[in-house]
Amino acid sequence: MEKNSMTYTAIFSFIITFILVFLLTLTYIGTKDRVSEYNKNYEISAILKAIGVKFKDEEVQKQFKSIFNLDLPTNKTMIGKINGEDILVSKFSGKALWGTVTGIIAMDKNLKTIKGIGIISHNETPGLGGRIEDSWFLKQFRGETINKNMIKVVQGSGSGNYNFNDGIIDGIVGATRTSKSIEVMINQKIKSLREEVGNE
Amino acid sequence: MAPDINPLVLLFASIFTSNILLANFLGMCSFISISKDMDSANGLGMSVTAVLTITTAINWVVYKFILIPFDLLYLRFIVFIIIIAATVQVLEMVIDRFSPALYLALGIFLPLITVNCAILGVALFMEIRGYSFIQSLVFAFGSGLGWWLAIVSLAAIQKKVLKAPVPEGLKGAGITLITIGFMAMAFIGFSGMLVVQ
Amino acid sequence: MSKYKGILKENLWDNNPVFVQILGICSTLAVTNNLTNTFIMTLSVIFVAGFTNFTVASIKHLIPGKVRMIIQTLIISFFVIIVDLLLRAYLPDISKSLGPYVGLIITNCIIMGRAEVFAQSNNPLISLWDGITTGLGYMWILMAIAFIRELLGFGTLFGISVMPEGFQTWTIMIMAPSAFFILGIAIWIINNIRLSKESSK
Repeated sequence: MEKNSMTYTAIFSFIITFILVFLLTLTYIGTKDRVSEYNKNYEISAILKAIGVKFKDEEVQKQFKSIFNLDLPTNKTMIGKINGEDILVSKFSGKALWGTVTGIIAMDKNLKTIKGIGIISHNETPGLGGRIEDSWFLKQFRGETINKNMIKVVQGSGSGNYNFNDGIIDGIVGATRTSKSIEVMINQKIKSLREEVGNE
Repeated sequence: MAPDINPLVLLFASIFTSNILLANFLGMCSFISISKDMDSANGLGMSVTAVLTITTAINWVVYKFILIPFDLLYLRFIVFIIIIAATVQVLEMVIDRFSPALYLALGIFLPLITVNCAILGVALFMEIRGYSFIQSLVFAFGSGLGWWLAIVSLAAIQKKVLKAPVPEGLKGAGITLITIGFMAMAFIGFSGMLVVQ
Repeated sequence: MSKYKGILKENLWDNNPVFVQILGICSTLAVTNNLTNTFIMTLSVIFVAGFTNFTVASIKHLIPGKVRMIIQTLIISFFVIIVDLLLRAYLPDISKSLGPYVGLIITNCIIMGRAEVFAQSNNPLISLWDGITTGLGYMWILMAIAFIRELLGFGTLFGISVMPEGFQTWTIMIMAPSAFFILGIAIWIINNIRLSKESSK
């Protein structure tokens, strides 16, 4: 068969496409389970981190179950028990600069202190808005008292406000809008949690 | 679930504050070689905008109605690039058939556009950010305009640069890159104009 | 053997894809604000370039003329998807921070360029070598840029803090313009080196 004929071209293209797609499908199927395990564990680790619990990667699912008595995180508010204390954990999400930010917030059962927050997903600019995932930023929320029912994000030095009684969070330098949007979504979440629990 | 962004804001952002070339580094190869001549710059800019909008629209439809339902996401790179190559091929034929004048002006750029990272890049960004159809169209159109704006500005600056006493080692790619760097900085200035919520 | 050494020298310096041919910078400049990401990205490029060259050189006699470019693109896409799948499974955090830029290796002009220019007219083994060395030439200059950007922009190297306590990070290094500037200046310096080598011959 002539190499440049239509028939040969069609058959060749078909065969090579078939082989390549077949190999890709094999690879995909081979790695699928690993990827979905990772995604499950990612959310659970974010929750455990938000609460401030130390964990080993292999045991996240076990630890989650022992605290919340659930196999997987749900989209509703979850109540967990740590050291005899009750903790309220809930997912929050809101509009940031480039898309939706989804995170997790953990509070004491009186909704007066934030135990911690974690970020599950976002689309912010890496290196700028993306730094909401950085530990220095998240650490500021650990044990933060809520003043007058809300927290405030300010344009500070960008190195973190670790005074946990003032209800003030240092924003990210160069990512003012992303930082402000975090303030808005967390305050909204606190408000809706209060309505849910009936605490004022 | 599509992010909650107003299409007008997205248009503005994709042209200025998150310019596909100056902020996201996409579409550089043809940029650096073609940017010496105003007419080619305009021609290329127009073609890229047209191809971007059309291919992103098609890619969105294929993504939403074929790739996702049939769990074929892992093949998206191949599918997108083939759609882009095919669209460019068809566009070339259509333009040649219906407007030989337009073909003379734009036709030569079209094959270059297939390998322009910006086209595939926009499709990939659309997929990662989960834009709706309208958002994708706006994003693609805006990115095209932004790319066009960048390449025309660069051509204009290059005309002046060619007359300036540039040191030997810096001539060509060196000074072009530094020029692009300054343009990128200037465009960052636009982000002050955008107020979200 | 000397042919192999010659190709290595060519691709690392004399005909370096980034600062001589000025190709393929799109996809990787975006991630050069971070050494780890740059390393993984350029490693992926080495893999894709090498194996694409090898495959194209092996089957070049079978490919019909009409579909040459599209078949080459198909082969490149294949290897890029393999890389993407492996990254998602074994290095998921890095895969997330690389975002769409792994997929953009497909449109990286270097790989297509090498396949056209080299693999189409050489045997598979040396094409594999050409692909790998081109990738290496690509890797070293981009790692150099990433080194400067991460050190001054974040104060870290590979994520490990190395700068002294009071160091004020240069935010510009994290943002796009710095990559252009540094690459432009690097080209300037390298051109000067090459020009003085030529005039001293």
